[in-house]
Amino acid sequence: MKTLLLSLLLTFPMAAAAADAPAKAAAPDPNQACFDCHVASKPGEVGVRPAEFGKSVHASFGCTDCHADYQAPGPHELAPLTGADAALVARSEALKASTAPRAYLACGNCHAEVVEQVAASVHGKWAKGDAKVAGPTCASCHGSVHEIVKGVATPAPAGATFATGARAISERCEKCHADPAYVEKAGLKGDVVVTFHDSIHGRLVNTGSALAPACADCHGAAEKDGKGVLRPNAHKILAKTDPASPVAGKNRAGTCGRCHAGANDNFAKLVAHNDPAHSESKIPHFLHVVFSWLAALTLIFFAGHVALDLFAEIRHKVRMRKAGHGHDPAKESQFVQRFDLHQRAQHWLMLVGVILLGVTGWPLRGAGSPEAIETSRKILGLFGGPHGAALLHRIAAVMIIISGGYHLLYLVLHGARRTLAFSMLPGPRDVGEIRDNIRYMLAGGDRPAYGKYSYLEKFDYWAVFWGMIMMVGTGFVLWFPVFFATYAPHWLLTSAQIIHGEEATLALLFLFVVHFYNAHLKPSIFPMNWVWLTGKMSHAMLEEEHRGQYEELVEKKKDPHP
Amino acid sequence: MNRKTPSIIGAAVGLALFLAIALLPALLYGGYAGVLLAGGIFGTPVQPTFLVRSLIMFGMVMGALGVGSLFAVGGAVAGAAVGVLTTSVAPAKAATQETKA
Repeated sequence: MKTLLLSLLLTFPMAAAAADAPAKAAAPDPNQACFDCHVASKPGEVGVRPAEFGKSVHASFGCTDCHADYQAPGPHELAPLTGADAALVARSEALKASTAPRAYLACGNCHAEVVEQVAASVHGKWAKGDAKVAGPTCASCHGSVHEIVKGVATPAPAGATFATGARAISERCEKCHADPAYVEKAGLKGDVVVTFHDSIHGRLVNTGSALAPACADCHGAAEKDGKGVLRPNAHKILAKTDPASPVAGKNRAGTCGRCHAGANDNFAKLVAHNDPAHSESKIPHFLHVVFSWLAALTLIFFAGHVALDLFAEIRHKVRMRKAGHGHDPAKESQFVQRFDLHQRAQHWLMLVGVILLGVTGWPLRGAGSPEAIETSRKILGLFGGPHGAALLHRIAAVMIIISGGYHLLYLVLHGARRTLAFSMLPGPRDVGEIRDNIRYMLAGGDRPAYGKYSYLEKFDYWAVFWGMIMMVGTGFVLWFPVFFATYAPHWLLTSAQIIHGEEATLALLFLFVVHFYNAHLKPSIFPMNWVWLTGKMSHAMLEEEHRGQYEELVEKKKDPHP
Repeated sequence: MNRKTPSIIGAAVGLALFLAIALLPALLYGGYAGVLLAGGIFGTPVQPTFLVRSLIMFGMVMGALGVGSLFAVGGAVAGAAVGVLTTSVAPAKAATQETKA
């Protein structure tokens, strides 16, 4: 029995192999003779990787379809070239081209129309003479000629009249345009790739948007495909100095209008990627400098303040422990009402809105950094990608606008009833408290006896007014750019982009580092000050944090605690 | 158990989560914020001078502190919420068992 089973097990594979053998024998790989000598083991090596070639769009081709006139087996020589082809190869060799020009000529045998388009484009100029460097050939953008794969064109969304095109190809523009040595030699503009990645289009592309344009979408002449969808042609890239270029002069508004319906010349002046220092108006550059200084100095000052306060807190805690001062359960179990329900509701709306704005906005801003792109993709992926995050960002913006409106209404109503305390207004007392607190943090002694609000809380409060005006104001410009371009000067749009980004950096770092430390994380409060939720503060904390107010309460005998 | 304990545990869990998943992104984003600020202050392209490097380092520290604080505060809130739930559920269960007995 065992012998029978063993025989069967051995016989079936052998029989299957025997049945397969005639089929294999019937269709020998026509390229095998070439592969016997011309096999590459890794990318970039001369030769063919048969497995990769088998996956390519040209898998059904024989080697001699492109390498014409060869007779395998060799020896074989390259066929001599004449005329323009010979001149192109000679020029390419003289300019030390990194890709084979002969492949370009071979592609033209089947793709004559495309080769003609490339020859007429800015990328074909070098082949006609007077070039400082060799320009691209097919392989420069499509990769190894033996491994060209399909799928570079993005599918058009349903009902779209314009579709972003060869995204994968556009990424390859960077091979030359981000190479400083090549850029300098060719006399190209040096920072186009950096400024593109830093632009809103670049960041959206980096984080996986299928709608945002890459290089070829704006710089390539667009034509309608068989379904009537306008598609940019990456083979027809024109220099922006060429009057026919989609980004030249008057053509630019139409190019922007493919995605931004109603875009006018003013909108088109908002250069998609450019250093603000090179903007037509000096205002964006000036604001860029001012807001960068403002953000950096504010953060440095308050980070220093936090560090000093932490030092003073630890010193205070050690001294209290040494002196044997403990907690007073009576003071910890009695509370004063610090914020009413309206104030807390305003704060809840604001805190949820700001955190949402931060987590949906900063990953997009951070995607300008090549190192952070993957992280940004993952974070924005949690919200359904960059466009899902954008929707949530707008909802969060509406939340903080409601919070701001609610607060203003609250102030007006209290003002009308003459119950507005004005306790948030800065005054001369704050100047003395700043001086005393710095002295306390550096040299010890007693913390200033703050009233209801310390100078830090007043700064927090008024900074929100400033931040709301800046962020909401510029946010609206970015939300409705075409509308604002119709009525406002173009520098306003560029300035809005700059201010929104710089102010977001300042606001988020200030809130998460400085405000969170002062409100929750300093050793005397850690892990949480629940006043934001309950509106109540214990007498113990009031005495510690707002000794002036606590003493006033005791003096007025409003405090039930003696 | 101290009434602060659930919040402290929550903050610790938040910080541990931050160290596990968010420290590197926070450093990257903070560093990039530093690059952007340096670009505005010293001009672009940013050169690797001492001041620029210092600003980038400062950005990295602020990024890590900011995101770490967010995780710690979020963790403290979550911890407190869990603490409130467990303390309100436990007496209810005890009361039910007493009634049955």
